[in-house]
Amino acid sequence: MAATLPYAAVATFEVQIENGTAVGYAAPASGPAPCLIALNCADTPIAYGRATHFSAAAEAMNLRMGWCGFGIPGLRQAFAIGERVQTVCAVSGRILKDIAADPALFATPLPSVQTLSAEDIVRLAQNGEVCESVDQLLPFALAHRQKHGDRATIEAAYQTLLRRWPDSGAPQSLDGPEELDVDARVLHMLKVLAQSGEYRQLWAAALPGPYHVAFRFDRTILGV
Amino acid sequence: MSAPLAVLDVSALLEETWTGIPNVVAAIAEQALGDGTIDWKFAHETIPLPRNFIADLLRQRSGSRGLERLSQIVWDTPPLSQEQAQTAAAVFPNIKPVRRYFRKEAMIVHDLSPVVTPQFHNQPNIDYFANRIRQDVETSDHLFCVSRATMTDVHAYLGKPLNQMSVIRLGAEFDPAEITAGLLQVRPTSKAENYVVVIGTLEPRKNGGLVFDYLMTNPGFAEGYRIIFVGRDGWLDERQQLMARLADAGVQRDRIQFTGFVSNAERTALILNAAFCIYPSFFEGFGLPVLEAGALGKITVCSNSSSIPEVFPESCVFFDPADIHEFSHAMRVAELRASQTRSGAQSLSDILERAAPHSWVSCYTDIAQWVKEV
Repeated sequence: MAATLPYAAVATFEVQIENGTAVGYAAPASGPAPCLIALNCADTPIAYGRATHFSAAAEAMNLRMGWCGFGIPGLRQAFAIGERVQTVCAVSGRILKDIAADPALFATPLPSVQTLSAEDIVRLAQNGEVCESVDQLLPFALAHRQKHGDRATIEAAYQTLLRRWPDSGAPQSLDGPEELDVDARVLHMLKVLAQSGEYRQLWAAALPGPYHVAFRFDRTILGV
Repeated sequence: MSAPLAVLDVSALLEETWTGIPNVVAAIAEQALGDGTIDWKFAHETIPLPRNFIADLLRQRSGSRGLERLSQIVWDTPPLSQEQAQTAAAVFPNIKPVRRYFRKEAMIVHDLSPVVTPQFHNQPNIDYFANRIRQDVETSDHLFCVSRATMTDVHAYLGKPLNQMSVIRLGAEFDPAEITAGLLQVRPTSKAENYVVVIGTLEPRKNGGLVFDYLMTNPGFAEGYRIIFVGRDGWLDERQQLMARLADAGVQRDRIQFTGFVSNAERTALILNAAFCIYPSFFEGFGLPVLEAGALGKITVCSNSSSIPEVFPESCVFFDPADIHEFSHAMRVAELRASQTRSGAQSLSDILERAAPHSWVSCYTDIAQWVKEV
């Protein structure tokens, strides 16, 4: 692990168990770093998850616009090793939830094994740090425009969605259909890029969320 | 006694996407940020940069918007004066923006590839490198070479005395959340298709064409394994040349895929679930992907040239990168060894334990020790 952990201690959280996965949200008291949650059996780490997914429950709590959700697999493996299974803040060591063994976890036969392609594996590795639609990108794009202007917003959109700088064929401004206001024009641009042949041809294409390394919009509206 | 003053040039962190040298600089900067025994200043050339700026870059793993912020810092912050510089040790992780400006200067030499193997570089790159490197080396009090092979080259081609150089061991560290994200051991209803990964940017020096030569005579391999080229496009249109040869290889187009740039998490997942890795490069200063693959428990079919045999020999099957027959043999051996390792069933603890000795601590410790020497 890196010498300076890019993670913060959990201040607010909720953990639930759904289908053998620990899901929920976790947010620090302040600061830009997300939280890191460990699923441990005794002191053995079984799996980790960072709280950087979108969570509707966190959004309802006004926490980081919802971008502090997590999902950690491995409960079945944890209980196969021992009975003391916990979710723990990986920074402070604080126990977030003691998880009781659920007989149903082992009683239910596993569904048949599914073969993942290399592209599927990359989607798995993106680990929920992606947006489900351009609507989730829109607030960041609008904040970016307000802070950095039209040109920078176009550049950030190209970088985020197409992983490249805009070329001569890219729009020079956020001009759009007359009937659309500026917000709608930004959304229109995002949709055009996300529906483009170039985007669809990207390997394992995804709409990066604010914690994905390809995300280029301003993140300060997360309150970080 | 006060902590010694030192300057780390972090200009490489301003690159939009981080591979190679920016990743090395990031690892050293992370260690330096946590070291209270040295008064580290981070700089772009001679412009000191705020520590929170460095922390932000490290968090986003990209230099995105960094230049915009730098342009403001340049207006607001005076450069380090020569008087200040004469009290500081400076570490340059790549080329030097200034020479003999600081009390003592060290530079990290990654490789002399543009000089030793110019056939793999375009002329502007060769000119730029060759025009700078001799004076950079001459004016450095110490050189940290990333491998014994690089140190030997610097001594042989540039005449730097061996007692002014040392070898630093680069590291491979993995965020446990990123390992988990690609770990099928915790997802018992999933298994990976059979595939192998060819790691590195696409450029002639990386010798990716050898894989196509192999497929022309062994098209059946692509029926058993998909071949995934992992890395962003390099120069000299290598990707287009490789794609043009697809038809000749006699394999279906979808059996060979090019990812383009992938994040650390995505690359880790691809390596972790591959049957084995292939690294056919003609020349490397170190070969960080070989270390990463080894630390993740993967066999690598690996070129035996330059520094590469120094990296992680126990997990490699070596071959001569110019000999297709040796490569074919190595592929067969790797397939057999990979089937015996059960690396797909590793637990998170297994991986973290294996990777721990390969952290960046050793590399940083050597640099910090040099800084502290009078």
